[in-house]
Amino acid sequence: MAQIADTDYSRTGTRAERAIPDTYQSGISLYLFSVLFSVPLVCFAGALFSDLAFVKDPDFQWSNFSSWLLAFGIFFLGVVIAANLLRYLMTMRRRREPVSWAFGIALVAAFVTGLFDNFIHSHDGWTSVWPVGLTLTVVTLALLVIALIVKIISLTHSYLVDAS
Amino acid sequence: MKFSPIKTGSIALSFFAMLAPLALPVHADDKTSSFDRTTQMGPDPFLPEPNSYLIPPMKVAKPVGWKNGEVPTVPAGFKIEAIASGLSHPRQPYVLPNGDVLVVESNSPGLETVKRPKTIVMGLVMASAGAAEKPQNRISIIHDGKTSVFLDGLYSPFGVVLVGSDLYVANTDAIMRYTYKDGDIKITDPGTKLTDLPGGPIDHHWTKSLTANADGSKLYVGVGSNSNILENGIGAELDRAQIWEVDRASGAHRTFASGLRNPNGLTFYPGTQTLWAVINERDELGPNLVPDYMTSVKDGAFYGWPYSYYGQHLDPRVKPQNPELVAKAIPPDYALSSHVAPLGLAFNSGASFPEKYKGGAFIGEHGSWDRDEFNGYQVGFVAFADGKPVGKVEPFVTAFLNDKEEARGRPVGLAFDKQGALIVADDLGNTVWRVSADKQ
Repeated sequence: MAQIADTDYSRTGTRAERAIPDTYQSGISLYLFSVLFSVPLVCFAGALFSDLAFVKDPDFQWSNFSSWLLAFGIFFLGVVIAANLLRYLMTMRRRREPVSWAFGIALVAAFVTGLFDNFIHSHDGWTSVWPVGLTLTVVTLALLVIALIVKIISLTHSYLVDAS
Repeated sequence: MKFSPIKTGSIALSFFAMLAPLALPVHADDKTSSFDRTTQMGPDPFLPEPNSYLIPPMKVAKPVGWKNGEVPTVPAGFKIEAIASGLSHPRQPYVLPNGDVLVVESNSPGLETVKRPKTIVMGLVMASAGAAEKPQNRISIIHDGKTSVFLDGLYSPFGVVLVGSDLYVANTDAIMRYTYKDGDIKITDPGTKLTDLPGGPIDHHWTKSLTANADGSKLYVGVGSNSNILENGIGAELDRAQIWEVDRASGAHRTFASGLRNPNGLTFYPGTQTLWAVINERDELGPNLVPDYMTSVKDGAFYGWPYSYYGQHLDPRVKPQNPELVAKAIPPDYALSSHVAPLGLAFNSGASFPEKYKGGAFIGEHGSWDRDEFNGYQVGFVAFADGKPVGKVEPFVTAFLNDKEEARGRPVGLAFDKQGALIVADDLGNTVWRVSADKQ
């Protein structure tokens, strides 16, 4: 009896979640995740463009744009990490797909480089962007793109496993 | 395609390793605890390489004020007493011919708006040092030991100078003229504007120091820069980081000297035509860069800001550079050591102090905020020989920080009174101190 109940929960989650069919559930969570994840992606990509504009023509306003984009980017990257951590902890017992550690590590690495990037951009003048600031923006954006690719691969993989 | 956690992890670690040097002082000579500050006092200071910190060091003293009976420390043979207390940010004393002492009470006009996330953080740090209280914007007078309001309704005033019966007050955005008669203890005259000064918007360095030449034909006013190092754009710096010479009759002005980031304490050396000033140099190149300085100000000279410091030492943060102007930059006369924030300067022309102090400079060092070991927070003394500074800065009035490194006060403007005693405005302790030689 107890064994059957356990199996049920690992398959269908909590009582509330059982009301929504499985495929829709993961569809909703995926959609929400992608909306959230797009914020740091857009912010760091925007910061890259304004950093490049500053390097081409060092008008202080470009570096201000970068500073704001980086600040919002790092905040929402923090939210993404917190949301994923929460999801990981809540679904620990009933998750079917293998945990994508590479995804988590890429996110945390992006957070670290992104945070350093924020500090460097808080300096004054030319050296707040060139060369370390711009480099960190590129690295952070690259790590976010890597995280995205890793996530897509791991999802594709788990769907393939499901289908077989 | 496969991502191994170990591989990704080691990439992340190598990023840490790559960035680690940024978080630590790169040069051993920049460790403040082992740094000999006296190497940055005098005509040829030691200048370390510019330093890039991940987070620039910030250390602000917690304001506690003077408890009952506490006073700053003065050398043996001197005594110190409060001649006015309970003031509102007293910044600049000025002694009138009859011996009355004017005290300018003032604070920043607070026009700087949030332009980037850093502004918010810096605002919080500065507020914790007591720099964000509401200003009174007035001048008080100490007459017969009593303090009363002398002139009200000013706009972040700082400099004040009397020429004949014309009293000039440098608000942050204009020089105003008032009529003063000997013995006046209150001025109700609305005043006449002599000239506008660069004020808002922004008004980053807002204190306008003021003095007059010996014949009273010209006024000299210090106009500080509108940024640390151009972070508000070059357009915000028009006519700033200069000392202006203002014609007293017409109000017309010309640039007397430029490249002076934040000049204060404008004073002619007694008995000469030589103008002196103390200058707050740039921040965030490291705890020991760039030393603040005291200098005689040469007509037409360029002192480097923003492009360079101490002559041709280029600031890496400034782009585009200006090699033509940098080639003309001259080094100042005397370094005071880094980030002491000199705001007051007075020469001892009287005879009441002992011989060694004769003709020497007293400097109000408001105190550092961007280095991990405090510097300044004292009135320093520099001896003069043949009209030139000699030796190192000696602490003269000290103990503005208590032994827990909390700020009881912070010295700003200085003046000598009719008896030859040193008057010190303390804008955190809200007190005016008088240091006199103990004749016993």
